[in-house]
Amino acid sequence: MKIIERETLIGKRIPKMDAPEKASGKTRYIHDIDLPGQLWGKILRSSRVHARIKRIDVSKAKALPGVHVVITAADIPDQRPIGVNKDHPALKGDKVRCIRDEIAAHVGAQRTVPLKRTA
Amino acid sequence: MSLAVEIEFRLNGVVRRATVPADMSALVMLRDVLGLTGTKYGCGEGECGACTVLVDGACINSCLMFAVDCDGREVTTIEGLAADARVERVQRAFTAHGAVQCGFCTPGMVIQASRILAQHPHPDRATIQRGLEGNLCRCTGYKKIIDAVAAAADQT
Repeated sequence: MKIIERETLIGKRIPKMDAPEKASGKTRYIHDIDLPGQLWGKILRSSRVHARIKRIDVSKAKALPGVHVVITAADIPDQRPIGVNKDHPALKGDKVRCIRDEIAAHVGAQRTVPLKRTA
Repeated sequence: MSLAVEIEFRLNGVVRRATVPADMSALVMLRDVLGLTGTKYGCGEGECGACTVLVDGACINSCLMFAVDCDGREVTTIEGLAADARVERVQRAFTAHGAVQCGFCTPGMVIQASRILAQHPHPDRATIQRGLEGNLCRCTGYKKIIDAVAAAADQT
């Protein structure tokens, strides 16, 4: 029997195609992109480890100049996370279970319109 | 809102003037005001080193430096080091040794590594490790990064 040796890539060091671009800082990651008219999103997160959300008033946030939309769990009536995410929907409506749990989100023309915690 | 301050400094060899809020970080000024996005925003609290720049020749976490403190200084970002022979050698070694994964920490790593080599032309692994301590790679590929810096040193 004759073993035919073939050119193989296995075991060879192949330089990553995009490595030089990444190493020089030229690669554009998502937060490096700034398109004309681009909007910025921001999430308001819980400052409590475990708390019930009684009421969220977003009227002042909505009234801020440049704010396009403010959403809470009430705007997503049918959140159906599965598996381990059952107590971790995208936006929490009834209860927060850790610091950083997502409560509200807004999208605005500026990157820096602050969402203020009042709870 | 907040107080704005006029500053003038050398950025990548060119004199720049900017009017910046007093509470703005050097990193935000570089990225959002001046559009140099090669410097990365990782943690914003001096933990990760993704925002490493050279200020008067020293490695600084630009997220911890106020933009106004750039006034009168020489600031160099990864973009300004494109023609630097040592930096180029480090970048080539990073590519050749598989030290670039997602690449987010890489610009900061490259600046820091070049600084190590400037101070220690032939560093041992412990020196490289110590020098890169302030730069985190969340892909956790430190071995190859250290290999790359060692290889870049050998090429001198």
